[in-house]
Amino acid sequence: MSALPSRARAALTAIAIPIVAFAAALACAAIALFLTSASPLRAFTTMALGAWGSAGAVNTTLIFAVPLILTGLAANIAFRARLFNFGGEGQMIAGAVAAAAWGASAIVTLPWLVVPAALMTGALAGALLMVIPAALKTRHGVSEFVTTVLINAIVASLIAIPIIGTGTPIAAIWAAAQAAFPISGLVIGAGLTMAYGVPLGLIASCALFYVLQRTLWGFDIRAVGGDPAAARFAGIPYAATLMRVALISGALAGLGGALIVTGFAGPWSPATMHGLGYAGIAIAVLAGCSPLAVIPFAALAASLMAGAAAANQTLGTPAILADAILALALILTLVGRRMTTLRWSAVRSAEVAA
Amino acid sequence: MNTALMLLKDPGYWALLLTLAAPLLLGVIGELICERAGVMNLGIAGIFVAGALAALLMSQASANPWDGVIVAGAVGIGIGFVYGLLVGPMRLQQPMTGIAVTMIAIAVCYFVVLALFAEMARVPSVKAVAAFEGLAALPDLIARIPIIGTPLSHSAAMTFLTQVVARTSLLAGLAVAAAAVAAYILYRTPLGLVLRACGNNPHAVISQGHRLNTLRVSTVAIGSGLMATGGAAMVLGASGPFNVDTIAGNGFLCLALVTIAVWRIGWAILAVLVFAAMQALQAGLVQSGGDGMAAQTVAILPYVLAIVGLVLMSRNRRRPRALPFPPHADNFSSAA
Repeated sequence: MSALPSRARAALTAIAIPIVAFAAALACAAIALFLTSASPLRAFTTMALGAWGSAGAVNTTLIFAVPLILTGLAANIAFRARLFNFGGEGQMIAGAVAAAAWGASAIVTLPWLVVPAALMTGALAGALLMVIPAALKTRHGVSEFVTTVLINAIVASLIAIPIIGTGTPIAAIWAAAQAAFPISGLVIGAGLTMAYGVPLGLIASCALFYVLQRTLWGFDIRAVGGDPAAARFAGIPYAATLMRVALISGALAGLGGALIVTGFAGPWSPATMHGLGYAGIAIAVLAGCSPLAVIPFAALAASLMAGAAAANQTLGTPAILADAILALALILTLVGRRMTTLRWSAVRSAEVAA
Repeated sequence: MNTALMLLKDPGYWALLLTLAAPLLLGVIGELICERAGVMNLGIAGIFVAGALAALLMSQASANPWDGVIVAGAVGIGIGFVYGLLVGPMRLQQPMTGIAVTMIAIAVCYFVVLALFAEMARVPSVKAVAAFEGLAALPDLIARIPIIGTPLSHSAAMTFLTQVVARTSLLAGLAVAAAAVAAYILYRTPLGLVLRACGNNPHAVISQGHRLNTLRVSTVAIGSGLMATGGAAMVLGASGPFNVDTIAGNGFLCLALVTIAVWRIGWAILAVLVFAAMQALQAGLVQSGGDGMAAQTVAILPYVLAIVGLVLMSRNRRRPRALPFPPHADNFSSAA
């Protein structure tokens, strides 16, 4: 290993740590399953088959992947600027509700116009939710992790109440909206249907990578994330850059929520979307530096969730197992990264140290 | 509005207020001592949920609700110890690790509850901790005071007070006792001085020969124990369905309350009372059945007020300077 140049070493470490962390997390999950008198081997095989075993399983995995990629990207770009956006959950739900409201209101009925308009509304709703935490951070120094989680709680409470004046609960709007959107996907063949959210997520990831690495905006973002004082000294507008990142981050999360409502048939509700925002945060930290790395980790998380849903249906194991494995892998990755950076003086940026 | 005013005259409302204040106060005191030692514990929501789960499980195993409180405290100390190790000696980033702890704790809680009861709705209700029923004899005691005793013990204020206290859960007393002990230790003992210094000037602590990491880890462990007791208090105090989201939301509310209380225990008690008043108002509005809209609006009021309070208090000069975020010039995060 010491014969390799340090960049290759750093890259290998960056890949190896999450793999070991996931393996350890799966081992802990096996222990937990064993304690609740379920067979771990059977559970894991069911999960693997439920994620990739058949065409229907792959479709389910892709369905889960769409919001996970987008919330992962949202959190990732925020963490690059040291903006701790933990509000992905609330922004995603807000985007979903906005898109549903757009669809249910039937202002625009042309099929090829409704969906993009709904997506943009969802992104806008998510971005709006980030305005207050970002403004409070830049002007008053309020830590954004408290404000964003409080806004999550506010959104969760607001979802439960009927719309002021009409008395219709949000769930009814949701149901009406799903009738309005032409559910479509790209049929790849052999029973596989890929919702258009997946290529959208891939394009977003590549676009973010390009913006971060090759444009001036991206340089500002990375500078602010690397060292805010040095960035200020260099003349980079701190408040404007943070606000930009916050809006992009919120918009991505909102877009994720909107894609769920517009793209998929089936009983989606705030309850089924529970936990996707926080899973996105875990994916973002696991992915570390690059938006491109969000894709494989989102795919991994989506496989876990689809597998856990299948295991829930067949074996009765709680579907929350996926979130537990993901969160455990997150902590083990953080520990692993810290343990390796103590030994190797590799590239030190805010993300690697995270 | 009328409903709200009627509620204020009802001793049951005030008793509920004090009972709901218990978990908030325990959580705030726990987080406050963590932050005073320089560690921002974002795992508070997860620790609340873990404490609540411990209380729930113990209620299945033992008839005494106080067993649940003790076990919850132990669970909290364990989680806090691990978190303290990760954030102190290992120097992981505090917000990330905190959110990871929260995610794990909530996932484990859901997993255990669903594995045991197959459905969240089927979670059995927990036997609540008793109220201050012994104090019902207080008016008789006061009547024995020579001159002012008899009229005092018969006054309307005394009757009202007795009714309120008689229905308040003992956990409120536990919370106030914890606050008093924490205040004494923090403000009046040398140990408290060193702990406050850990949060304000870690270099001074190290130069005096104290072990910074040991102090921080033990403070975080004890603070987390208090937080977990707060979570248990949510389950053991006011009886209601076991709702993980509500418990976690209260945890994050405590996080904001510490900043609103400007990291002082006296102000923390005041802030907790205000927010508990809002929560009791919401519960009362829901119970009186009247306006669903008003109840739900009051439900989000604590969070909105928390954000407003954060804006007002975040730049306060009393902020422990070693807290890592937000980063500013005299931040001691390099020593953290």
